[in-house]
Formats: sequence, C-alpha cells, structure tokens
Amino acid sequence: MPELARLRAAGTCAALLICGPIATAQPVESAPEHSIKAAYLYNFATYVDWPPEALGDADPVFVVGVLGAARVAGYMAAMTAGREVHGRPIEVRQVASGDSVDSLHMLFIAADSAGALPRLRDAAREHSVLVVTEWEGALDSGSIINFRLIDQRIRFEVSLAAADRCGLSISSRMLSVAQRVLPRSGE
Amino acid sequence: MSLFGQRSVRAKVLFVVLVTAASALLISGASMVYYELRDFRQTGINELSAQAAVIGLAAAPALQFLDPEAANEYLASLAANESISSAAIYTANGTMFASYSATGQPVNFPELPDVDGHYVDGNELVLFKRIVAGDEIIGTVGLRATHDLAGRLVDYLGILGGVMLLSLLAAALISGWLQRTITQPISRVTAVARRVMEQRDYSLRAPKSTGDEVGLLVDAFNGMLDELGRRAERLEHSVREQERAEDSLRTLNAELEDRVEARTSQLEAANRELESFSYSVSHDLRAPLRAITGFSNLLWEDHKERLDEEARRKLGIIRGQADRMGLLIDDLLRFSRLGRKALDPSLVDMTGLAQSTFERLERDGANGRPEFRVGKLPPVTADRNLMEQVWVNLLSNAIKFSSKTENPLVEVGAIVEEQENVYYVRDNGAGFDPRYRNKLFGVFQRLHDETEFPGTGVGLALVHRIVARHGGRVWADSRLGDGATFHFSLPRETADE
Repeated sequence: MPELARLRAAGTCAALLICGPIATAQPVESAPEHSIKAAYLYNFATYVDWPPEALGDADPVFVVGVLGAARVAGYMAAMTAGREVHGRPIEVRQVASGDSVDSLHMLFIAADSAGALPRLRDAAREHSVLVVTEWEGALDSGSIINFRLIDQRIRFEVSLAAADRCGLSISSRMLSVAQRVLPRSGE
Repeated sequence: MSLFGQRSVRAKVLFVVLVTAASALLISGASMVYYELRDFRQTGINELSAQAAVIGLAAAPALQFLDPEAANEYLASLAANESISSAAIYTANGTMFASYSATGQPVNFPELPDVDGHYVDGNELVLFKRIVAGDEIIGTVGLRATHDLAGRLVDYLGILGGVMLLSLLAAALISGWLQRTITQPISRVTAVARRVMEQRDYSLRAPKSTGDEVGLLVDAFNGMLDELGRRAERLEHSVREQERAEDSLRTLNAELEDRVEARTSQLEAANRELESFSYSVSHDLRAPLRAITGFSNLLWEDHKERLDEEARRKLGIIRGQADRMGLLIDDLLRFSRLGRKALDPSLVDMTGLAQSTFERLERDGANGRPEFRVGKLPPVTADRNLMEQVWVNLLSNAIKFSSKTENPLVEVGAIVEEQENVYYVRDNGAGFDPRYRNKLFGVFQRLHDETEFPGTGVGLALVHRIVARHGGRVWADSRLGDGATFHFSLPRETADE
C-alpha cells in the first residue's frame, strides 16, 4: 500500500508539475487551462459527498462524463488513471448531448455545449449528478460548480442551493477557496 | 581537611547538613531542569507539529485549487500564535506557494522544503510537515517558532538558585536548632575537659543529660577522671619519695666527694713529704758516705803497706760497698727528682737517640760487645733528657743481662699503632721468670742476684716513672733463660702536635 501511495503521489506531482507555472499567475494558455480544469474536476470529486443511493454497490465505478471539451476529458482520463474517488476507480466518459446522464456521478459541460444544460438539468438533479460548467451565469441555469477566469487565473463558484437540490453536500474547506458561493435557498 | 578538622562539632554538623542538602537539591534540581528542558523541547515540537497539521488541513484546498491568497490568509492567522515567527507552504513539486512572517521581514525558509521533521536553528525550532489529501502528498508546510532553550534554562537556573538558597537557609536554621540537642551535651563535656586540663582538678565531673552515645561518653569520661585522679595522687606520692631519695643521695655524694678530696690532698701531702724526705735523706746520706769513702781511700793510700792481707780485703769490701751506696743514693736522688721536675717536651729523634746511647754504653762498659740491631723508630714529642734515661736503662739492662750469652744480641724496634708508638728492646740474655713480671718495675725490686748481675734495682722503676709521666705504658715479656723484651709505649698525639 505505501508503494501504491508513493506511485500516486508521483502521479500527482507529475500532474502538478504541468500546472505548476500557472499557480504563479502566468497567462493562461489553452493546454494548461484544460489540464488545470481536469485536475480541479478530480479535486471537486474528493470534496463532495454523494448520497448513499447514488454510490450504490451495483457498479463500483466513479463515472465522470465530459460533454464537449474533448481535451479536458483526455487530460482527466490520463490524470485519474489508477486513482480512486470515494473508494472507486474513476472512469472518464465522453458523452454526447443526447446521451443519458443517469449512470454519471459528475458531468462537465464545456462552454461550447452550454445549450445542453437546461435539458440535462432535471435528470442530473434526479440522479445526484454533480454538474460543472464553465461560462458566466451557468449557476442560474442549474449548474452546481462553475469555472471562472479571473485575473488570468481559473477560479470557481458554487451554488449551494443547486447542490442541495441534487442531494450533494460540499465540504466547507472547498468552499473556503471558492471565488463565490451562492447560499442555500432561505439563507 | 586539617583545617576542617579544627572546626568545632557544631560547625562540622552544620557543614554536613548543608553539603547534604545542597547535594540533594543540586541533583534533584538538575534532573528537574533536565526533564523540564526536554519536556519544553518536546512540547514545542508537539505544538508546532499540531499547528502544522492544522495548517496543512486548512490549506489543502488552497493548494489543490491553486489559491495562494487563501493560503496566505491561513498563514496570516498564525499572528495569533506569538511563538511562530514565520511559516511557508510549498507545493508538491517544491515551489513556495505561500509564506508568512510575524515581523514582516522576508521569511527565512529554504527554496525547497526539507524532509518531514524538525531541527533547532539558533533559538528557533524549524519544522516541516507534508500536506496530505486523501492518500496523496499535495504540499509541505514549514514553520519556524521561537524556541529559547537558553532563556528557559536561565529562568530555571534562576528559580533553582533561589530555591537552593532558601532551602539551605532553612536547612541551616533547622539544623542549628536540632543539633543543639546533640552538640550541647558534647560542649558541656568539652568545657569540663578544658577546665580539668587548665586547673588539674580531677574532682570535676561532666553532667550527664542524655542516654545516647554522648551519655556513654560522659560516663566514660567521668570514669577516666576517677582513674586519673587516683593515678595522679599515686604518682605525686612516688615522685615525692623519689625526690627525697635523690636528696639524700646528693648529700651522700657531696660528703663522699669531700672525703675523697680530703683524702687526696692528704695523700698528696704525704707523697710530697715522702719525696722530700727521701730526697733529703739521700742528700744527707751523701755527706757521711763521702766521709767513709774519703777516709777509707786515705786509709788505703796512706797505710796500705802496714795492713795485712786480711785487713786490705776488708777495707776493699768497705770501699766497694761505699761506692755502691753512692750509686744507690744517686739513683734515688734521680728518681725522686723526677717527681718534681716539669717536662720539657721537644721532637725527639728516637732512632738517633737509641743509637748514640748504645754506642756510649758500649764504650764505657766492660760487659762484652753484643751485636746491636736498630730499626727505624718513629720520632716522638717528649722530654729529651728523660727519653735518654729510658734508653740508658733499657739498653744497659739488655747489655748486662745478655753479657753471659755466647752471641749476645740486642734489638731495638718500634710498632706504630693507631693511638701510640710501641718501642721495644729485645735481648737474648738471661731473661726472667714471667711470674714476677709485675715486680719488675718497682723500686729496689731485683729478680737476679747482685753478684750475678750488678745493679741498684732503681733503673726500671725510673723507666716506668718517666714513661708514665709521658702518658705511656711499660711492660715486659720473657721466659727464663730465653731473653727478654721490654716494651714502652708513647701516645702519638703528642708526636703529632
């Protein structure tokens, strides 16, 4: 097990080596932007708790769907190979706009597929799918986490109301570094 | 130690108590300080480690979502902890992600994080701890906290010093109070002992107040005083007796000395009288003797023809006996004169003196011509005239008594000994019976018949007297018919002077 942990640590290091320079606020280029988003997606998964029924024992795989942005899917697949989230191996799946989201745990909708969100929103909410988007105003359309580019750096905002509706709980530690947090309804 | 040995028991007990207390305090204090410092260090490490864990947990999202501002904010919250001087967060690949400094100065952290662990840098404790999310290392937190071990040590030593001072003071006071019960009885015995020594009063007794060892000591001391008193009395008594005995002995001695002195002077007076008597007798005898000799000579010369043969023979006997009496008187006068005359010492060549004396005797005498052998004789400081008389008497004796031997031989020699020179004259003549050797040197003592060897019997007495006056001795060895050896010794000191 320590051997495995070391291998994973090495993997993370390799991933962060790629995104490292970005942390020092250099101009965002498209390739690092995709890899950073892939890493963020993985990290989101670790800070979010799914309801027990969503993580049923039937298929012990954590499935991440990526709509559009094929490069993000590629980076993420490479990065999460051999890693686990909530005790499950990760499967990254490129989905089309017409595909079902029922079996997904997490869904990233790239900006070029923004139109698919309203259609997928209810299904996602029903199956506790963590929806992550990357365009301004996406939280109003039912997204839970939304990437923002601020001062040349990739930040994110969170809608707790949307998360609540999905039955997902997001760690306050993650919220502490969120650029904006929309409160729960009634707060 | 000798200086310590002279201190009083009180001082010693106090010293022992203080040294014991100080040692105990020092040992316990040192171990407390050691424990405290180790604890201080461990506590510091533990606290810092816990702090690092908290920071790591809080900063993990900031690292994961590349938010250095958030990380910096976490670190800024360390301002609440005064001991932490600076902090830093590194990413997993080792670049510095966020930092904090309490003073606002640039942080003193390495470019790359150290491995997990802690070390002391000056008076600061530095600790590095990996930040782990899930089971992955996502970064490192570094903390630098003041860890003033020296200051802590100074504080503790100050406290320890104060505690020791107070404790020793308390120990001194308590021991001073407690030891009175031990030392006071001893002091009382000491005081009595001192008075006994100063006043020689053996009737004094030490008071007994305790039943412990000191009480035993007091009993023993008093017992010893009893015994000492008895002995002193006895000693005094015997000393008095001894003094009395010595007194009487002294008186007796003085009386004895007086008597000896009186006797000696009486004896000396008698001796002097005797000598002057013998001198005057000898002297006075000369006049009638001269008359007898003179008239018998006249009778011989004037009436020789008228006397018949018988008368001439008788007259010859008278003349011979008168001559002999003259010789006797001369010898006696010489002998008695010897007692009165003072010695006139000078260095005397004994070889030359013996040689010349023998030659003169040989020339004068008709008694044969013996062979004469003389060895080398050591010179001596003595009265030359008296020495000549010694040689005259001894050599003439030797010539006389060896005259009837076939090949007469007279030998003279000397033996040098440590204290004295021993001279001897040896002949091969008639000798004498060794039984009578003690009589040899008395006046008028003769061992041979007058008709056999003529002589007055004064010669050896004269020799004896001269040698004795020079501090020497005279003795003789012989066997009848086998020669005789006469020895005389003279002390060498006089010769050396």
